[in-house]
Amino acid sequence: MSKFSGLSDTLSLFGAFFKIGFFTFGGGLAMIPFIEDEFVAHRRLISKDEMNEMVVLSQTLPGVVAINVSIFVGHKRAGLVGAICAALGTALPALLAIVLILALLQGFEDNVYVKMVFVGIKAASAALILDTVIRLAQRNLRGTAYWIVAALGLLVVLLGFSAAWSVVLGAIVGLAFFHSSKVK
Amino acid sequence: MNYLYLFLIFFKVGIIGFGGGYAILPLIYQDVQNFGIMSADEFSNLVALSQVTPGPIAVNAATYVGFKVAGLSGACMATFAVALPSFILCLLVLAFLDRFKTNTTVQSILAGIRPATVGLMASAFIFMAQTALWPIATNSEAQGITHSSSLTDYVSGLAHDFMQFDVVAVIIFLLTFGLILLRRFGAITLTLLGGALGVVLSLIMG
Repeated sequence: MSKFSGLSDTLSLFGAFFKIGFFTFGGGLAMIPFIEDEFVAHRRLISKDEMNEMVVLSQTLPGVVAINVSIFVGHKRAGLVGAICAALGTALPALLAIVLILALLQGFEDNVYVKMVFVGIKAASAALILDTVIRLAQRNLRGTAYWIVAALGLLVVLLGFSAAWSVVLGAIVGLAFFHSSKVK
Repeated sequence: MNYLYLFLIFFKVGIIGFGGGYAILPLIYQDVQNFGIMSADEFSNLVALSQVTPGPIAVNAATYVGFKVAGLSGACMATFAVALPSFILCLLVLAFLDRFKTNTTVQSILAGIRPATVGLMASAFIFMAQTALWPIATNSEAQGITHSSSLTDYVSGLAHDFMQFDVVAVIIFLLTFGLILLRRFGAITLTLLGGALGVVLSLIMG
């Protein structure tokens, strides 16, 4: 694929990611099947293997996973300009939705019904997060060493230290104990 | 000055926020607390809203915090700041792709960070459960999860406040978790159902 970035190419990148960003709710991982659908299955612009590699890299790197995927796909299609357009397309619906809701809620924060709705959606999202934690633990914590690192990562936050130390701790343990033999 | 804070908070999140979404939330929450931008209760509102708004949770969070601090331009600044490190890192990785993938040092560091992010995500759950299910206890003692000075404080505080749970919230939490296990409903359906139940149950139970 040529890296020449025609206007229509970059615009269609922006459009595709805006559409995906608009219709996927609740986080980056939810977007990945839609991105695959759009670029691998539907448009055949990216091979299945390339897509898998982009997804793995995006989850490995820090930052917003969906933004990372957008940057890789956009860059693949149209270089830096493509990466910017794709990331913008992903971020914009999230930004607009929150700004819109905050504008609508202005003055209604203390409304008794709004508070009741929030009680409900907060309880529901606690359950959704618990489900995600359980599923990720099942997938990622294969063995006692991994459980210990996860427990330490949690403990750091519970003890009131910066969550950044959880990441640093994980990195140190990984460097010391997860060398080559344990890396898949 | 506000813009500089916003930029630094979210740029940092973009650099050290591994594991995406929920794992990034404790990082944002701690900084938001340090700068006194919003209460635990309001931050949990934001997390819940992220479930029913399009797009990545971290972008929703950046927009929300940015908007509260400095309006629309603050929202754009925070979102820009959280995305900027991704550009730098992704382009760097692309430039050194083969070395990145085969370097055992890099890979073992990442292998260690991965389980740590599961722990961070668990702390995000504890935060949400605390603020959603024990709102009175959380607010009266201003004891967000990251706020407790020690683990013993945290445990004794939790035991003391345990009975002050919000009945409506606990029912909705258990019901939602049961429905999740059926694997028939999406996150947005369940969240909206939770909101509707919040009104209905609150009215019934006074």
